[in-house]
Amino acid sequence: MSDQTITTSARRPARPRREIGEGALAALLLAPAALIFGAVLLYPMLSTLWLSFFTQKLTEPWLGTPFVGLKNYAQLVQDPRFLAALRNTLFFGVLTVGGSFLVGIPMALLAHAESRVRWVARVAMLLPWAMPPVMTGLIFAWMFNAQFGVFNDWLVRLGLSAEPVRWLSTPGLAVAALVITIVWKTSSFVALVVLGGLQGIPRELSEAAEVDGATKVQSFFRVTLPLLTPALAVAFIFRAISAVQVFDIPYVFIGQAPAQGLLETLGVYIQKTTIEFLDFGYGAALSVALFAVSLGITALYVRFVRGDES
Amino acid sequence: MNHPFTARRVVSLLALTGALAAAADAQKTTTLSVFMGSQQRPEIFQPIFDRFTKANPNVRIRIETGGATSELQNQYLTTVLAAKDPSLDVFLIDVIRTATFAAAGWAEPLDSYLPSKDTYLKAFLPGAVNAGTVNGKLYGLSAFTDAQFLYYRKDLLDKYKARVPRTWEELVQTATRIQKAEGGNIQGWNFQAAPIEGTVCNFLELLWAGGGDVKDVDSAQGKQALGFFVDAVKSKVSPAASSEIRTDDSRKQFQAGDAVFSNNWSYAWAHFQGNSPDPTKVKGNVGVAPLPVFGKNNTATCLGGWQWAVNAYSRNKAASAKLLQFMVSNDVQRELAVKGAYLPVRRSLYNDNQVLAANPHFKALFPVVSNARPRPVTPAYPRVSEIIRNNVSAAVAGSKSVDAALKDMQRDLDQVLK
Repeated sequence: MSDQTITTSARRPARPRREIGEGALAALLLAPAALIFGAVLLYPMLSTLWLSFFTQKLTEPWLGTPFVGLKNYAQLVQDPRFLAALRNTLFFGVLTVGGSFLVGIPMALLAHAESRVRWVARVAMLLPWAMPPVMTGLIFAWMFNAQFGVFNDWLVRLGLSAEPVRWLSTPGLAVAALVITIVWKTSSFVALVVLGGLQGIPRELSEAAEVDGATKVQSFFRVTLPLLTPALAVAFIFRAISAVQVFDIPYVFIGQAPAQGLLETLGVYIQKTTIEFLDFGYGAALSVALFAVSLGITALYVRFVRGDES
Repeated sequence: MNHPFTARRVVSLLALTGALAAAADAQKTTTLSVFMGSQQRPEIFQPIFDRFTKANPNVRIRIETGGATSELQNQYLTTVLAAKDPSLDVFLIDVIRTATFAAAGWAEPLDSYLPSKDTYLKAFLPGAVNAGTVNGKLYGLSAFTDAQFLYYRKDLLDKYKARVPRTWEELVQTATRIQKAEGGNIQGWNFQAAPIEGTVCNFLELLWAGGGDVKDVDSAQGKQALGFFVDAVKSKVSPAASSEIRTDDSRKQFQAGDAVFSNNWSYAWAHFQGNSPDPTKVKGNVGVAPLPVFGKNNTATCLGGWQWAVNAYSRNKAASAKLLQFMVSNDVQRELAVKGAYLPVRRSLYNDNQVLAANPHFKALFPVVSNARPRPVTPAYPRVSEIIRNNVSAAVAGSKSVDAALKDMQRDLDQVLK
C-alpha cells in the first residue's frame, strides 16, 4: 500500500496538490488498524476491567450493579476453585508447551529433510493445525471413550487390558488424555514455525560442519539449533499464551467426565462463571486475572528477546 | 459523474420508504423468529408452524436452530439475551431454566396475554403449569412435559417368568438372574452417570424413592441412593463405563437390545418402536413402568420437559403469545404425542384414542406423570446441577468414595440453597 502511494507521488512531482507529510501519511494508513484494534480489543478489555469493579449477577437482579471496588479480587484470592484452575492451567501449560516442542521439532526436521517422507510429514503437519479445536476435542474424547473408544479397542485386542480403561473418568488418565490431545493439536504450529526457521538457515553452514568432520547429531546441536533460537522463541511465546488461555479442548472433555475438577482451566472457569452462572462481575475479575498471567509471560519473553539483542 | 443521490432524491426516497412502511404496517405482516435446539426435532414442529401461518396469513415464522444439548442452547440464549437482543421472539427453554430467565428479566410474563388465565390453565397438568410459574407469574407454557421411567424388556421378563420390579433391590435380583441365564454381554440395568442433567435426575429419583430430600443429601437416604449406583457398577449389573454414559447413549444401547432394564425419558419410546434414525431390535418387546422404590416409599420421577417463552425484548409479543397458545392447543399437543411420544400437557389427552394408539403406556403412567417432582427451583440452578452431577459421576467412576462425594455435595449445596 504505502509503496504504491509513494511511487505514484514520485512519478508526478508537478501535481498541483499539497503533499501530505510522512507523519500524516503514516497516521492515515494506521488509522483503520488502530480503529479496529480499539473497537474489538481495547474497548472490550477496558470495559472488562471496569466491570470487574462491580457486582453484576443476572440471577440476582435485585442486587443492581453497585460499585464494589476490589471486592471481586478479594473473593478471587480466597476462591479455592480459582486457585485450582490457575494451578491446572499452569500445569497443563508446562506439559503441553513442552510436549508440543518435543513432537514439533522432529516433525519439522522430517518435513525439511530431502526425502520421500517429506511430503507425508508436511501433510501430517497441516491436518491437526487446520482442524478446529472443538472438533479435535470431540474426536479425541470419543476415541478415549470407555465403551466405544478406539484406544480401548486396541488395548483389549492387543491383550494389554482385560477391561476397558475408563480414561475420562479416572482423574490421572483424564489428565494424560487431555495432554495428549492438546499436544497432538498444537505440535503442528511449532513444526510450521520451526520449518520456516530451518528454511532460512543456509545449507552451506551444515555442509561446512560436515566437512569439518561433525556428525549429523553434532551439527544439529551445534549449528542448526542455535540458529533456530529466534524461531523457537516466537513459537514459544505464541504457544505459551495460547496454552494459558486454553479453553475449547478441556471444555469438551469436562462435558464427558468431570475428573473432579482436574481438567478445569482458567478459561473454562471464566466461561462457567459468566455464561452458566451469570455472574458477570466476578467473571470479569477472573478474565483480568487471566490477562495478567498472559501479560507476565509476554514480559518474560520481551526480556528474553532484549537480552538476546544486547 | 452524475450523482444519482441528490438531496432531493434522497428526501423523496425516504418519503417513499416511509409510505411503504406505513402500508406494510396497515397489513401488519410480522415475522416471528422461533429458537429451538436440534434435539427438539424441528422437523416435527415445522408442519405445525405451517398450519399456524396458514390460519394467520399476516404472520411468518422463521425457525432458528442451535445447540444439541440444553447447556449449549442456554449458552446461545444467554449471549443473545444478555445483549437485550430483540431478534428472537419465541424460544424453547428447558424446564429447569424458567426461574433464571424470570429473574434475569429475559422472559415476558404471559399473564396479561391470557385474560382468563386460571380457567385456561385448568386443563393442564399442574406440574407443567408450576414449572412455568415464578412468584405467581406465568413465564412459560410447556411445549411438552416429561418424566423418567423404567424401560424393560417384556420378552426377557416373560422368558424367565419374572415380574416388573417394584423395588430397586428386586430390580437388581431380576437383572442379575437374567444376565446369568442369557450369558454374553447383556447389561442388567443401564443408567446415566456422565456429568449431565439426566444424572442429576437419576440421583434425585433414588433419593426421593428412599424418602430423602435434596436439602439433606449427606444422610442415610443419600448414601442409599448413591451407594446403589456404585454397587450396581461394582457387581456388574450396570456397565463399567456407566460414569460416561449419557441419555442418548442409553437409548441407543437399549434399542440395540443390549440391556434388560434402563432409566430414560419419554422420547425413547418412539425410537424403540422404530420412529428413529437408528435400527431397533426391541420393537414390540418394550414395557414401560414407574421407577422402582426403596421399601414402602412412593415412586418418584423427575419433572422434565421444555417451555415456550416470549423474549422480553421482542417487538412482537402479542403475536408471539398467540403462537404459544396455539402450540399448547389440543390438536398440536395430540400431534406431538402421536409423532414424537412427547407427553402432552393437557390432561384429557391421556385418554385420547389416537394418543393411546401410538403410546399405550401413557394411560397407566398418567398418575406418575402428574406426580412428577421438580428439581430445586432457583435462579442459581446451574450451580446446583453442577454440584450434583459432578459428584455423582465421580462416585460412580470410583474416583471418589460415596461418603466423600455426599459430603462435598452437601457442603456446596448448602452455600447455594441457603
